[in-house]
Amino acid sequence: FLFPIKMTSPRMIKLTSNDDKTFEVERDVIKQSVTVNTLITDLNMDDEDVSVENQMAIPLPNVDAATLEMVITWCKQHREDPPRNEEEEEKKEKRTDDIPEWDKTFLDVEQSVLFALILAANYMDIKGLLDNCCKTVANMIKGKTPDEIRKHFNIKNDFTPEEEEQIRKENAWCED
Amino acid sequence: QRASLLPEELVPVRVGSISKEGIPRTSLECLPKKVLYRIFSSLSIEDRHALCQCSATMKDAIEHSDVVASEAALWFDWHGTNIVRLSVAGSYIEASYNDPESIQVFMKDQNRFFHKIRADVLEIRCASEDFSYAILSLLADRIDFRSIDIQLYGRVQKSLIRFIKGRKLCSVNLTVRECLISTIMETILQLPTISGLSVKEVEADEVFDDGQLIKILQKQHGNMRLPVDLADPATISRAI
Repeated sequence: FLFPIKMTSPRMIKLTSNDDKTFEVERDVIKQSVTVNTLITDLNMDDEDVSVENQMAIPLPNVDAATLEMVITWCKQHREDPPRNEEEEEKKEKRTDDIPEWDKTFLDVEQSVLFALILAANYMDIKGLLDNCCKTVANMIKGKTPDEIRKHFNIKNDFTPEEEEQIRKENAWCED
Repeated sequence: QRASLLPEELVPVRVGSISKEGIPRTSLECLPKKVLYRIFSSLSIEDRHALCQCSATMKDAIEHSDVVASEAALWFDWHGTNIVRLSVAGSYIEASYNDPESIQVFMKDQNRFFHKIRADVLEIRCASEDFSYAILSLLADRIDFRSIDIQLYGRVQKSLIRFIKGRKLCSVNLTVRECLISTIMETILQLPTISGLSVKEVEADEVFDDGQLIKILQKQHGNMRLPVDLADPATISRAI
């Protein structure tokens, strides 16, 4: 006997970037974004009767197309990841040497791109991506002198000379 | 290397170098505070200090993050390890009791460790009371004990009581965990006897009966029978 198998295509969701580019992404992939997931639920977009063509696109006004595309790529790569337990994550010792190899390569981008990804991950509430981006930035800071950090991260020294002297005194132990 | 990961059109383009507020998009200062705190949380104390010296904005952000994110823990000889460990927001320093030199370094380091760091919660785990008193006294200038919750584990109660007496604190939030019942009894019974002190909240869980409960109760209350269920710490509090 041959049993008819109902082939169901994966549920797709439309996302629109702030430069008006629309992306179709599998529901299962984008569920990693708490922001999008909540919107889908709140707007009843899980209704199977609505085809993707007739579906409203979710606008993401804080994310540009290039960044959104990267976010989707990251979500696809991590779709099988077990759900994160934020309480457990908080309790864990904070490390920065545990970024997965794929992510290390993926996040090896220009600083402005990395920062755009951080802002997008923060806005879309994708904890895993945000976590690995932040660890990448922390690794860039580690071991640098204040001057090196300023140069690397475009930080303007806005201390008054008096404040600077005070800070130098407070941190004298660093030069022990 | 990236080309193998991403189709060419996916390789990101540069998104302008200056944000609306005039802060370069590659500056740490363009990141939201919540994100900065996340980054700071995995930095060592030395790296945080380096950041503090970069700009007043970063200094403010770091100091604020320490206030909101810090949980400090002080462990003494926990589980017989002969180790004292002081940890704040994921970073820690430790020393061995058996090594005077390492204790000396620890004492010096705790100064820099608590420099500018304030904690919401201090967790104290201890098996060696005199030593904990010494450390608590040292840390007294660094921590505002009036504004933090103290979580007490193990056998630190006498140190804490001596400490509170010495500092004339007026109230304390106290959580007692993983203690012997006698520890809880002594702590709860002694704290209110300190003049002017009110224990705002005492929570007890994971306690172990060491057979001394009845002895203590008899000492405090003569032969009075109290409705105490040894398996239920709540009834102990109620009994008192």
